[in-house]
Amino acid sequence: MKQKLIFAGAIILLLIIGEVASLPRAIPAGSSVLSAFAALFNSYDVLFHSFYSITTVVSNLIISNIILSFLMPSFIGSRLQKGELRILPAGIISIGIFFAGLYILFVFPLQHLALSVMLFPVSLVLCYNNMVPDLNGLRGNTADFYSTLTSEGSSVITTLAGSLMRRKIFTNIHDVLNSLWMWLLLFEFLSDYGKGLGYLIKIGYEYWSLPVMSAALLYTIVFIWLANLFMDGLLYAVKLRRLKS
Amino acid sequence: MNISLRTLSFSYQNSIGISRRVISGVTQQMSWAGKTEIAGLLLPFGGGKSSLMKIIAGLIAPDEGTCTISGDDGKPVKAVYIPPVPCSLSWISYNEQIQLLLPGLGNQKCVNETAELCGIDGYENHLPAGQSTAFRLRVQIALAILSGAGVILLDDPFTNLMPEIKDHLFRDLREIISKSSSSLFFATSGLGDAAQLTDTLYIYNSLDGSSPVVLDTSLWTRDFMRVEQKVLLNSLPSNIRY
Repeated sequence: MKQKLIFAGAIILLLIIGEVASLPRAIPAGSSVLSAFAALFNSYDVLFHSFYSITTVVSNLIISNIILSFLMPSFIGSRLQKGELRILPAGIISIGIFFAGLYILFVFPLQHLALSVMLFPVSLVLCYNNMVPDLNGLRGNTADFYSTLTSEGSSVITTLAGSLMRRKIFTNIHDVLNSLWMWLLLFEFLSDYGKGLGYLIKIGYEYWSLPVMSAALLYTIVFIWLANLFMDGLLYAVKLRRLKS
Repeated sequence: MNISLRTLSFSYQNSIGISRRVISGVTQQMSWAGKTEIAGLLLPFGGGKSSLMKIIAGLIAPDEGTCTISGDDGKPVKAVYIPPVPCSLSWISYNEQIQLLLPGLGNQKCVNETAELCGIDGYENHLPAGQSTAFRLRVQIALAILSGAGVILLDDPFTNLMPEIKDHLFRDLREIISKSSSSLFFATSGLGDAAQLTDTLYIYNSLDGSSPVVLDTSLWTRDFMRVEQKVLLNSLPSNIRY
């Protein structure tokens, strides 16, 4: 919270400096950013773009977690029996997906589908990587105890992995939310689909207007922050319900 | 309860690929009355204690030799291995673990009675914090009993417990073996814990095929050992710690 307050203070300070110093090429003036806000809300359906982006992010996260938790435990369990799981090189994979995504956006007529196709593997990799340390913790002592406890033997690790991943779906979504937002904004910015928060930022870029770009960025940051707060609230409600039961 | 080791040998490769033989030609018959007694094994650190316990549990296969576990009637029994670090699942409760891992159990009365016996009644739906060592250990023992373990192999899981919690747990373990169908076999590197918990103690310098010193420790307590420490330590292998 302290960091967020410092960040908000820095932004306000910057806008005041922009107003006083009058350097429109370098720092946008506060008043022009406010007018850009009004222009964005009047001319573009900002709420629709926000809803579009958040739906894309959340649906991708939910699908990735369902696939990981319900369809992949046996694969992950068999990998765990052979050795430690490795964190996938997210950087290299993301660059690969980025170029593949550019190509898809170039040739694919259905831009929305292309966006999801691009975002889904990123979401899957981020969710998987976030789970790896916990999954590796099932090896060794835990596997030794539970494999002697049940009749399943060493394959009990598959049952444990499935249980762990299902139980941590909300935590996992919460942990990777910010990273996935960044990827979505980038993809929306690059696509010609004309929807989403990334598109609002692109408008500022296309008009070569620093105030519009700043207004869109500020709105995006606040929106993502509110979305994360909502997710935190949801997570807390789930935990509270569990404790009460 | 009987654990029978015949010409048992085992070696493992360490992380840099060097093979180390930790058990070599061990033959020993260990017998004790499972309902009233607890047997134990005392070995120095790095002496192959965990390897031997894992072989007894069937988790790893020996290079040579055999290991059998049987009840008082001579029939084979199930062994559950409890490792040095408590590892009951932290994200699901005792009741949920039973539903997930022992679904055929069905008898809720038995589940509740075992929880009470192991001192976790009232906490059946509790999620243990990562550091809740004694609670997680109690959950493991309860699950082992419910799974039908003939013998529970304790691989020195009390090391990180505070003395008063340890004493409490040791008293409860006595009651647990008398009221359940599981018996206990305890391996440790600490003479104090071994003396306090066990009735029969097999003391090895190393698992190199030499015979162990077998002691009746049923009357040993911490106070008794404080008084008799010098005499005891003179009579025991030199690298056993108190």
